[in-house]
Amino acid sequence: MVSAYGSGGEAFLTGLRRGRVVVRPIERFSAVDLRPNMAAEARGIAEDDPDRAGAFALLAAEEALAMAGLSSRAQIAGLAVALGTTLGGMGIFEAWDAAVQAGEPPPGQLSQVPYYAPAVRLARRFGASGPVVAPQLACASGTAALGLARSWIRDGRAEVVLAGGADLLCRFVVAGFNALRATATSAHPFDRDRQGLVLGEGAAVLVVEPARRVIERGARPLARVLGAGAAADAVHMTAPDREGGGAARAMQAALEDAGLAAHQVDFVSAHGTGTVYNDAMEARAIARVFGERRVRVNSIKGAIGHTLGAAGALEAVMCVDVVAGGPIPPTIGLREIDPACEGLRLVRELDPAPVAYALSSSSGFAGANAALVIGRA
Amino acid sequence: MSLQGPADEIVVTGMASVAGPDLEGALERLPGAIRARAVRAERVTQLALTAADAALRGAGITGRDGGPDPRLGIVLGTAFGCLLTNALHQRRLAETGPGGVSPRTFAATVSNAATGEITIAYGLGGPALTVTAGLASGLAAVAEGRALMASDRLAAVLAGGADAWGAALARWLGDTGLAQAVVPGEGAAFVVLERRRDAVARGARPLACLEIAATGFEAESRETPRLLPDWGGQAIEGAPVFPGLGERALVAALQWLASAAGGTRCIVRDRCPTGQVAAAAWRREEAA
Repeated sequence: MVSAYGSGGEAFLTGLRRGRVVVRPIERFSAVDLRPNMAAEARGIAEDDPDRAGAFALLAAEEALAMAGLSSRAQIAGLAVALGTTLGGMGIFEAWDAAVQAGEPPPGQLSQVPYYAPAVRLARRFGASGPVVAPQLACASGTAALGLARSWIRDGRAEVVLAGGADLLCRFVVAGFNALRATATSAHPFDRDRQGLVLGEGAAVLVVEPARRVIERGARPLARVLGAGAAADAVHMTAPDREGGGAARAMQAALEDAGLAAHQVDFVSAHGTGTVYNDAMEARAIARVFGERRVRVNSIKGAIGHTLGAAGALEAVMCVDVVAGGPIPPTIGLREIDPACEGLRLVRELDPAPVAYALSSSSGFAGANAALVIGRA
Repeated sequence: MSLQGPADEIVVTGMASVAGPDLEGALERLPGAIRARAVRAERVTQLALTAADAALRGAGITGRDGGPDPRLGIVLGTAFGCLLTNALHQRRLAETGPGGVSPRTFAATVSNAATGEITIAYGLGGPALTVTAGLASGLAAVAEGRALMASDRLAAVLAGGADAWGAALARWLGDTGLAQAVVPGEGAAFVVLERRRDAVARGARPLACLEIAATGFEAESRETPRLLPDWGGQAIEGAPVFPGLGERALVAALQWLASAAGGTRCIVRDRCPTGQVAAAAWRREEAA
């Protein structure tokens, strides 16, 4: 995987455990006129690749396949790709637009379908023959991708799936979020003085396959993808449902798909962007699903920024680590909990208590919500 | 009404398509509150809303009556989604700087904007997926919609495709070499999928059976591979025969279903030069 901590899952998990904040002034492109101009950049990685999000995804997929012990084309016959993104192709689009306006030839590596480019890049690199789809649920895309992977494996539509998300920082994205007044110079999820999100970039890809295949080749499953759910707010295009209806329905659908009751879940990885409305909505949604029980909750966006369509996939990697015995990373940026989120049991320091079942929740523009239940292998 | 097939069979109870030249009239036919939203929306959303409205009304699903219904879902496939909106945002950013960009335009630079508008208009509170699978996106959405119906949580899924045409897209297609793979056009097409037993129970008339739908990837082949067994029937290739983009093959299927010609079954296939392939087998319902 790729994040502002650098390339690799170990860097990501170590950074989260140490609570290291990697939000800095934007350096990779001109940001002097962007207010704010702070973000969590993945520095030194694929700097000049026009399909930067695709390059992130490729690095992540190579790491994931190596970790799974899948090194040959024969081992990944029947491969499918579900790679979520929000605006992953916009780097390509920016370069193309600049060339058009300058009357210059288009960039040589122009991909044919911008949002689909990172998924196709993986499909071609690894010889996919199964479904290759870019789920686009805005900031819930990465979580939805893992839901698709579960569905494809369950229905026998794929033998092995590269599933995750990828997104990148560019002027297009930062200027847009700034115009929405959704951004801040630092992110403080669930904090009473939170003022907005901080953008980030990266990719995470997980290898999802039937348990029998893993066992047959003598490999060790890291975790089980037990359930997935999605639901629309059906209320507003940019603002979340204040009652958390869609997010709660997505979580409930994921639990039902997993055959679990809410009380069996030990940990919730929240979307937790640090915006006023998202965090309050999510607190309501979690309360609707978990009732009086104060399940442990965290958000990692105060540390690595909001990686948009990649966020759910990065958080899924954290959940895999947590159910495999790793500690729950703290909610970086939280100082004093907002009374509107008071019912949440937010993890504030590294929490080593064992987790058998984790639920990851994501939400996005246009009322998109998706959730995932990940269990111990 | 008697069952004409297995109770769990996935049937089509509503279907509609809207082509670009017909959009203005289709907008006029929208119910007032939805029309008011639609006229402010981007073109791809307008196309999707008008086709969704006709398909849902055909199925007897007339819109929200209270809160969002968690038993109603949607899967929209789109090849280029909000690309025209992205082009607008990008131009403003380049010409005026960050201070000149529109928050409203930026909010529509996500490809699930059309899906979101449909969920709001009709109170679809179940899964709302937007998928991009190149020019095979519409059929890919049908495949994912059919898969969603495996869950008893859902009563119906609206599945289809939508794409809009514009100058920025035409230029993009030309610069990428993808123009050869398309006949210029735009539109939207949707089907309402239900289990036969549920449709019959509520008195809806199945129009067709969606027997199977599948997607795959074949980067090297120049021909559309067979994803489905040879079940006979009419074979329809979406690419590059029919005008349009991600929705074109589904439009072709709906045209066949609405016609009287060509037997009782058709298999529609599509292929994107990026490698995505998709196919769906449809069977006409016999008249009651």
